This record gives sequence, C-alpha cells and structure tokens, in this order.
Amino acid sequence: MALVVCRHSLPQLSRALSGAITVASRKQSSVPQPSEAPAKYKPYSPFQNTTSAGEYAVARLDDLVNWGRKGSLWPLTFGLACCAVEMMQCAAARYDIDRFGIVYRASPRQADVIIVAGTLTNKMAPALRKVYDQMPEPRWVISMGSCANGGGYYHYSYSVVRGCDRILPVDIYVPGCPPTAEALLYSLLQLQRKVKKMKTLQMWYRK
Amino acid sequence: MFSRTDDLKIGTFVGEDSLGNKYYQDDNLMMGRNRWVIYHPRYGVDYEGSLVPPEWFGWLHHKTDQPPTKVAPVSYGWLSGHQENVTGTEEAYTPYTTTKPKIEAWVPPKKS
Repeated sequence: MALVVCRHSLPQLSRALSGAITVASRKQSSVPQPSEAPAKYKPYSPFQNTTSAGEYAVARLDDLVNWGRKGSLWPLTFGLACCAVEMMQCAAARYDIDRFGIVYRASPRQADVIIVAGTLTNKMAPALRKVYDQMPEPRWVISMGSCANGGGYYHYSYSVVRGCDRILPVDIYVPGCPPTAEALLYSLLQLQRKVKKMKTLQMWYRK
Repeated sequence: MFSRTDDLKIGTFVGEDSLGNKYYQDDNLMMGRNRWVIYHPRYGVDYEGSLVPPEWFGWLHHKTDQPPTKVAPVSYGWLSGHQENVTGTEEAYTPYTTTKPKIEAWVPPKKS
C-alpha cells in the first residue's frame, strides 16, 4: 500500500488517507506492467517480466487469447435514442468498424460488448440488465453519450436512470451529446487496448 | 511503413512533431486519406490518436491547411503541455468522494 501511495499524485493520496477508497472493480484488467527503460521498439505484449518458463508460456497464451478477443469484438446494439444514429454511422462506410473486426450482432448470446447508446429509462432498465445477463463472459460495456453516462439532459427526470452504471459495470464512458462516430470508434479502440491487457490465464495460473 | 498504414502510400514528408511522429501528405489521394501520420517506433503497436499534439491535430484533421512548420502555432506561457490519453494506465483518473458517507456500513459482530 505504501508503494502505491507514494507513486500516486496528491488527490489520490488524500483519498487513500481518508479511507474513502473506491477500488476499481476491474483492476485486474487495467493494471499495466511496470515500465522498464524506454526501448527503441515497444514490444507487442504488455506482459514482459515473467520469471519462470510456466509464466512465460501462460503469458504468451494470454497474448494469443487477447489478440483473438480484441480482433473480434462483437458489439450488441442497444440503441435507445439519438446516440444510436451515431452508432449506425460508425458502422457505415466512412468509419467502417468492420475493418477492426467489430461487427454488430443482434443476439446477446453471441455478443462481447454492449454499447448502451442513449437515455436509459426506468422502464428499459430491467430489459437492459436481462440482455446483459444473457451475454457470455467475458463481456464489456461501453456507455455512450451523456445520457447513458450520468443521465445527462434528463438527469432530473422522474423516469430516467441516472447513468447506466447503476445497472451495469461500465468499462468505457464516451462523453458527448451525442458523441461523434469518431468518438465511439475511439472508445472501441480504447476497449481493444484494455482487452489486450487482460490476464485471464495468468490469473488462473497464479492461483 | 506498409504495416502502419495497411496501404501502399507514398507521400511527401511534411514535418515531425515533438514526440517524433512523422506527418505525410499525398494530395492525389481522396480527401480524408491524403494526410496521415506515422507514429514513432517507440510506441510499437500501442499508438493511438491522442499521441498527435494539438499543433498537428488541426492540420491532420483538415481544420487548417497550414502545418505548424509553415505557420508557427500560438504559444503562451500558461499553456500546459500535451498529454496523451492515460485511460487504462496507472495515471488514469478515478473519481472519489470528498464528502462524508451518508450511510454507515454494518460491521458483522465477531463470534468469540
């Protein structure tokens, strides 16, 4: 803990001292490896310091798994409002997320990512949770637009959930009202970065 | 080069920014594909859009036709430097509360 505190900046220090620590729920997939001296070429894999042959093998297997996962993120379309129009635009010819292997899939059983695009109302919230529960692991959530992030314009409405993170664990928040297709594309690329750092097999091996 | 652009693009070198990224242009290509950036090799395959500093952003996204090598960008003392997106790294911002919690957590009594 002391190591963590001295490496962080001041607000995080005060947070650690005040005891109001909100631990990021998905810490395992977002912890990067400690960086060594700046190499001329950055290696592909984020898992560089392995100590034994077993760890090395598992790390390379993780690389392979992550490569496959990030190359075929299939988002489930959950278009609720005007953000959905931008989401369609993202899939259309100009931004063409198909080139990243991101293909919209209408069934939650075969989807990896759910893009919550638009205002989440109280009426829709149980349906959203049900659809999310039907998705197979591993699954990720992108909250798109200020309405899905925190209620946005409808924050004080009696019928709107103030952010879809009250229903789902969100990985990526995309700001904007609505976000441009470019912004959504960038969020998908950020999610790919996150998927690349996942340690599925390494966590299993460590147990 | 080929692996970076997924395309065979031969352009004229326009300039290089403070991070070492190189910018190219070929106006024979269609608008939207005619300006591109080759990131510095130290980023490996982890390059991303926020590595482009704001001076070059405008040129790269066709906000202006003048690259900062031709028209020097404005600079003030109060401008902070460019920082790339730190999402997913240790420097990433996590929100925290500064107020006293409104509820008290229940501490289970110890059986002894």
